Amino acid sequence: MPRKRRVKPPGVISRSENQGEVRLSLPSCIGYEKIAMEAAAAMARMMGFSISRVEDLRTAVSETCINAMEHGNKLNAANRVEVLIRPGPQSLMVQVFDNGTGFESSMHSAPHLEKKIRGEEDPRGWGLFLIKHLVDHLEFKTMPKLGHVATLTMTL
Amino acid sequence: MEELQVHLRLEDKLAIVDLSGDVTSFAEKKLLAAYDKAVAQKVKCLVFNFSSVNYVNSAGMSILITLLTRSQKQGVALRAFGLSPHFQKIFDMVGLLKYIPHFTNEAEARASCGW
Repeated sequence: MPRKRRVKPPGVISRSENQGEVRLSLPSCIGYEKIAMEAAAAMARMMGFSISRVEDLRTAVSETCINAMEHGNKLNAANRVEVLIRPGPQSLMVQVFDNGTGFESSMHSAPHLEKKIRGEEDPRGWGLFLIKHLVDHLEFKTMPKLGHVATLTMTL
Repeated sequence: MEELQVHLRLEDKLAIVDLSGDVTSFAEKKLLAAYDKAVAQKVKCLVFNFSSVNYVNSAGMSILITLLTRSQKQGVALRAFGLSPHFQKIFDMVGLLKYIPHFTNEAEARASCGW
């Protein structure tokens, strides 16, 4: 009797697999972050993340890519933002690479809404704040001559 | 890039701003223009309808903050309805819901304006 081949349900990635890595290369043009955002969200859905966690990841990936395009690559379309989406057994990791040297220290201070409304602070500057609050783990690393990488991790 | 459609419904002292698409940096011109048009008509309460908005990013929120700065100076109240649970959470995280209260539907948002 022929052995029955075990079939995976469609759209489900086995936790033991690590070959499901996805790589994207985006021009540093605002708008293209949505491609990375949707790819990461699709991966998170396939891994079984809840709808609210998928939404959190969408926003976090989008904001990370915008930071990479604006601050890392200075919106120079020729400079690419590389995105690596790596599903793991218990977590999903998204890495965003740019050609910059990391964030200015001012970007790490918490934005203050009232100051922004009063015009004492630039109304922008929420990206890093949102990323920090939406992912389980966030890490930045600057590699000499290679650029900057932000690593976002969401745990199942 | 055309990412947001803005439709303004002007009434006496009240305006409903129907938004459709994405609220990002590309939305700035249209949102500011809608606000200015409403204020020119002596509107005192502006209600944003987010029911058909798929995506709001940090740049989009900064446009709303710019509108808040103007509205506070001009005595115009801002209200919202139709935000998805995720963007309600994001707006709350940032503190925007304190200044742009969110309502379940248009009727409740209108009622909060007092008209």
